[in-house]
Amino acid sequence: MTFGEYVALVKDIGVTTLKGMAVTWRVFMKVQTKGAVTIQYPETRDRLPMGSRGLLFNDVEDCIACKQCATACPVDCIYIEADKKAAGAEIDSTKGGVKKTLDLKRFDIDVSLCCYCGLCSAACPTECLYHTKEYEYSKFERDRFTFDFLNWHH
Amino acid sequence: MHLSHQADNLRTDELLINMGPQHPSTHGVLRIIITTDGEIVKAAHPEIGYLHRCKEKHSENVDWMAVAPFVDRMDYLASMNNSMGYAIAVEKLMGVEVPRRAEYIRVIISELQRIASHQMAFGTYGLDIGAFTPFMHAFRDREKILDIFEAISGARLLYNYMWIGGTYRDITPEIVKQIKEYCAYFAGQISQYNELLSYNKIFVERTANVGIMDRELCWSYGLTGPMLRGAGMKWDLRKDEPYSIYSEVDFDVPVGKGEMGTLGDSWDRYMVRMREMEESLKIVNQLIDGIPDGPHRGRVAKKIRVPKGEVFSRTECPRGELGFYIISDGSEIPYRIKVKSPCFLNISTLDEVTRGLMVADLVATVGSLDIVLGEVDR
Amino acid sequence: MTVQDLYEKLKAKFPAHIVELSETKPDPYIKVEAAGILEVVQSLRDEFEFQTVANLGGIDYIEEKQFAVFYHLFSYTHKVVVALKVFLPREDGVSVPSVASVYKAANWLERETYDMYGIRFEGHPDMRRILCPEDWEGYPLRKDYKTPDYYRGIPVPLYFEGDSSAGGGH
Repeated sequence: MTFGEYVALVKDIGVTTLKGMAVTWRVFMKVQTKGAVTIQYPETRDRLPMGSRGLLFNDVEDCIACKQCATACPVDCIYIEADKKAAGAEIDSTKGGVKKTLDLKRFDIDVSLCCYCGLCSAACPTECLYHTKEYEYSKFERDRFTFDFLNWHH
Repeated sequence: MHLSHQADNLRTDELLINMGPQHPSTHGVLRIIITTDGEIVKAAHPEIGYLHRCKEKHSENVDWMAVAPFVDRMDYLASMNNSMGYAIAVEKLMGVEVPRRAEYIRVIISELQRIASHQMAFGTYGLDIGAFTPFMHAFRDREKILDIFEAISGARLLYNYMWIGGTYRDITPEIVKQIKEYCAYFAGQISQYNELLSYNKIFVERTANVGIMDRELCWSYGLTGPMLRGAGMKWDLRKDEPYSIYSEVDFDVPVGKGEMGTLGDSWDRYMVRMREMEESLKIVNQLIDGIPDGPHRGRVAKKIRVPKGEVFSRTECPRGELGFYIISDGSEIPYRIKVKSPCFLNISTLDEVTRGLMVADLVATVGSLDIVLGEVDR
Repeated sequence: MTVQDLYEKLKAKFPAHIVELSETKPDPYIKVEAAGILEVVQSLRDEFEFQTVANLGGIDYIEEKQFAVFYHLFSYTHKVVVALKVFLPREDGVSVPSVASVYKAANWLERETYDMYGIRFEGHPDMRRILCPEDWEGYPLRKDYKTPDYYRGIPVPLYFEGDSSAGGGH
């Protein structure tokens, strides 16, 4: 490399680096006047849009134990056990008027296996299983993640 | 002289370096065993399989709709394109017609996802070379796209939005307004990316003439996408074998020209990605104003049964051509799904391409391949 | 050039190796004998201008007691994908000639087929497992595969039978 080529290379490096720094300088001045893009997380929180898929919740008053959600789930994280009602027992209905002909004995969801795909809530015919916007529910022990919706006491 | 006589008796040996599964520059859990002679690489053997989750085995045990969340998680940075590829393959087998509104929404969202994926590639490539600022700019802009996707489908990264026959939910006029605002904002950003990184002389010196892959090597290794276009061949599935409504939009296919070094080097592949972002923006601008009315999903039964047959269909994803080979035996569960992932073949070229380069050039080459280990290992 | 034309030309050139064109919809395949696959693939690359491999893998037809290895080759000049399938008896230790000397993409794709099905490829430069660990036992994608209970002391399934916290699905 001749000395002339070396000088041209150094000048090139200097000019292009300064152009890049000009971009950073403009962003810096914009932040001073209009505020930063980052939010300070636990003090302020983003507002999530409608339809955000967070933690699952099942309103067991409306559940007819059809097991559509458990069949649709790709990872098999919904555990349902239901028996036929004894002959002569009274049959109540959901808020929407659908008769609950089965006796729900167990409705657990292991939320550590759930992949938040939304297939179960799309399959539910009475819309009792839905996604809330909750995303801050960490626990200290791994076996606390099986949520029992029949005895929900949050 | 006395000293040079001693130097003749010095025994040199080759050094074995383990660029281990935990490494900031390997874009995932990839292990490369490098044998070097001083600084020059003699052999580089990649070892994969750290993220193998047996997707192909899972898909033989769950039904057709439930395969879609698994397919999302392969290339997790371009999840909409994966789902679209799977949905198109199954729709070909079933003979389902997708409504026009769903086609428009699918193409707009695919192109937005392509921009987001290339922004990630641009940011992390700068980070590998040592530039920290472009990463921040790319992620600030990418967050806006992820906010749009959260409003559309409910999730930020793994959407399960492209269902067989159409899409999961419809889009509202507020979301259309949000997309238009983003397009107006992003039009001014690409020139900033070019000023920050692309034409910076230090970046050019690090990436030009490094990792040269010519057209014959790409053909033999089965490479497609930006790797093949960076080698100078003008081939894009969206233009040459169009699917969905790509035949109705007007866009150009950028190709590497060897401007800063040799044809097919890392700078060419990187620049093809930057120019593709502009083309994707053109496509979104053409389609966003004319979305027709209609249903967002075709007539598909609740329990999908696919007739007996086999199909092999490919779509253009940000990293190459993603292929789905699906065999159905007429039941509710697939018989065999083989996924041909582009990144799997991209990594296999590492040994041949990096022989004779220095170790720092190997890092620059790995970054230009733009790999996502979720797709390599499935 | 359609797949039908290509089948006729190949049948004329290699009458012993090419068996038949299948009738599956929508993508038919050409059935090839295992012994002649290397010659057929070499001629497809050199004379018929099929420049690249689009896909390569294995299938387990457990009902018919056969394995199959499929090859999808693509031509940029004719813009057509041709599917070839080689059928093998479903036993341990079956093997097929490797096409890694013709297309370098076949190197890793054949390693993956060996890893998942146990089909060996003769003449392959580096025949070992690629996705599973080197000392894994069994071939995962076979239809009668059972996951082992332990791998080097680590339990493999998520929950064992009789575990109290498991529900086991529905």
